[in-house]
Amino acid sequence: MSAAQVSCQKPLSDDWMEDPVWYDEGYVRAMEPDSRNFIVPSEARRMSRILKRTICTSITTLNQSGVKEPDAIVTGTGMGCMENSEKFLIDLSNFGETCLKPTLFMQSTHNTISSLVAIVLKNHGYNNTYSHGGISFDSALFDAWLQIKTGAIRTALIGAHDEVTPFTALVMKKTHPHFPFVSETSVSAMLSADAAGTAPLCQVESVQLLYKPTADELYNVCHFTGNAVLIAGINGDEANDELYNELIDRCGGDISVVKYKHLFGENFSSSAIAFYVGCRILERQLVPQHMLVSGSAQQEGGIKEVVIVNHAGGTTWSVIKLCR
Amino acid sequence: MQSTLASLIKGESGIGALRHLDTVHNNLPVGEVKLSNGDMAQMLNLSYPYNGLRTVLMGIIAAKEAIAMAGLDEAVLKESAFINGTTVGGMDMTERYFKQVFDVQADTPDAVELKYNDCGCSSELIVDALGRVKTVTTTSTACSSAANAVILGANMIKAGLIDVAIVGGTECLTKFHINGFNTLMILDPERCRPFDAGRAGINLGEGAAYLVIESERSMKARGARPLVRLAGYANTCDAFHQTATSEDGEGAYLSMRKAMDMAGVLPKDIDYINAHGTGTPNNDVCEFAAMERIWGYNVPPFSSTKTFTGHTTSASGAIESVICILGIINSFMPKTHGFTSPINGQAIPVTETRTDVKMDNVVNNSFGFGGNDSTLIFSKVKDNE
Repeated sequence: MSAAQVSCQKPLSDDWMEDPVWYDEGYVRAMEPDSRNFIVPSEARRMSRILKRTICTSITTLNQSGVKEPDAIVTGTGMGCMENSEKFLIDLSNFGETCLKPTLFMQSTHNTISSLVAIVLKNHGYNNTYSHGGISFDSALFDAWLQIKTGAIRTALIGAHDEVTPFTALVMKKTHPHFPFVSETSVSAMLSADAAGTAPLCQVESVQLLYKPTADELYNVCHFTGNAVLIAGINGDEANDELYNELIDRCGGDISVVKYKHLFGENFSSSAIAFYVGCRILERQLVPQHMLVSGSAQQEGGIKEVVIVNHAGGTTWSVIKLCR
Repeated sequence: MQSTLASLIKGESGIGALRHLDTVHNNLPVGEVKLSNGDMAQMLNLSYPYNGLRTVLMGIIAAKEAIAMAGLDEAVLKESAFINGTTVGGMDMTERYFKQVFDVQADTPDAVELKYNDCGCSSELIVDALGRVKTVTTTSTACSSAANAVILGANMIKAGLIDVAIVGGTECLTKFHINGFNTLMILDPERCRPFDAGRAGINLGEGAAYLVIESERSMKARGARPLVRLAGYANTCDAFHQTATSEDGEGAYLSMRKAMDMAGVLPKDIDYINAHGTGTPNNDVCEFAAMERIWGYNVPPFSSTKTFTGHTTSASGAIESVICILGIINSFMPKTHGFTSPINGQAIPVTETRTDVKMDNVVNNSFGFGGNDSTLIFSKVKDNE
């Protein structure tokens, strides 16, 4: 297993663990990776930012994992290729329905992203895209995990990608007032049925997607076995955080609670960052102090389990369990 | 479902003039749902915000019919998953609000309405009108979205995570994709003519359909009988181009092959193919090339029922699955409407509805932009099963 990220932290890097970049603004764009290492400039010119970022994280992940031909490519995206959709809508709104550009439409659908990865890799395997708000990544992970579990596939390149243009940020301010810090996310990771080859970061134990669960249902799914780290989508907004705090209070005990949205910002693919952070915490056996909400950075006997809990608008919940 | 069956057997196409969507392209023939948003909201006894959400309204009507037909009660529903395929989802709302977005204030009903352009939001609104379920998520792979929703639901059941899933898709006509397809110059101003030498593109359509898929164990426990068996399925990628299909139809070929492998059937066992058959010059040649690679000179009877419904994009995989299921349980093969001239060197589709035919194993193809190709295989349930 391997993973890579592009966000408002240094791209394709883990500097955020020791030396994060801090922001005061309510909205920042991602730091762009140097795409010349991954895409020839003539092709890059034809790609929107989200597509370039996707190729950068995907190829980095492939190279690190040593998996050349994944059996599946599964992607989550809340809004898809927003930059192109938006340009198309602006043209539609300004110039009417008669002189629109096909290229914008061709690269505007949600599945443009996952398909592009397949086209670049010439990969004919399973290819799917989930677009369900804040649990888009979790749905993609769920799909891949399920297929590995049933033996249908052995390897899957998973990821989640969302771009937030200034216009989208403006809309989100109105539609999602509970996102105090908005930014952009691209995350890729390789899942594999066996740990052969390169050293895995961790193991995905289970993935659960729950719609409007009761407090009991949620608690039962989360139950910690000790030496656990809980990563939650806490973002500083009272209404948003209350739901996590209720769960954390009930779970109690000696867990370390970790937040990530204050560093990476928020969008529909944020939960992919939580997954990425969880992998690194297990790999390094350390929680960066600046992400700790409560509990300790290291645990006696080592961190055995990371439980990632995110909700989207309080309705849809995802619970991902990672272990060493 | 009964009226769909009657229209298919009588050969009545639903393609006609556009009535509800406000667009300058109202000369294009479409498979538009005849009901207005108000009609549908009234049918469902739903008011604001539902009365403005076409994708959601169509979704609720179809999902309710599927759930009632399967006889799912609250307790079964509560442990089930709802997997919805949609792509442009609530884009009709986005278009309407686009110019006013700067004036909308946070935490107002207008701001909430802006949210409805999100695909996941449509799925949740549908589910809220159905009752409680365990899991909801949304596939979005353009024209194969619904087929991929079926595949996720089936995988969840296979893995033993759930016993019942409501799977399918919904999509309304929007200015966004009518104009999008129009810029690609693949909309036929006449009736679409899939697999015809004179074909000149797609007639877009809209609609919703859902299947209730269930484990054998759960069906036995409930004393329920299946309509058909979902015998096999596959999802592959053509990995060629965002909006065009490779000449040899590699993705389509692999998808049909893999689905047959899972179903444990041989090519000769397939009685009928409900083709993706959009009517674009590119799709129909490539899809046939893929069929020919598998069946050679013996391609089974195939047709494109998009001549009845229009291309219902994200919903098409589910709508055409319903047509296949109707075909299997009523032993008939739907025709391709309005076929006149064969493509050079290519077999012709089914041109007259065939009744009293063997429909034991049926292939349903759904191919999306980005080369997202999926195939579902439905099989007849034998009386002694």
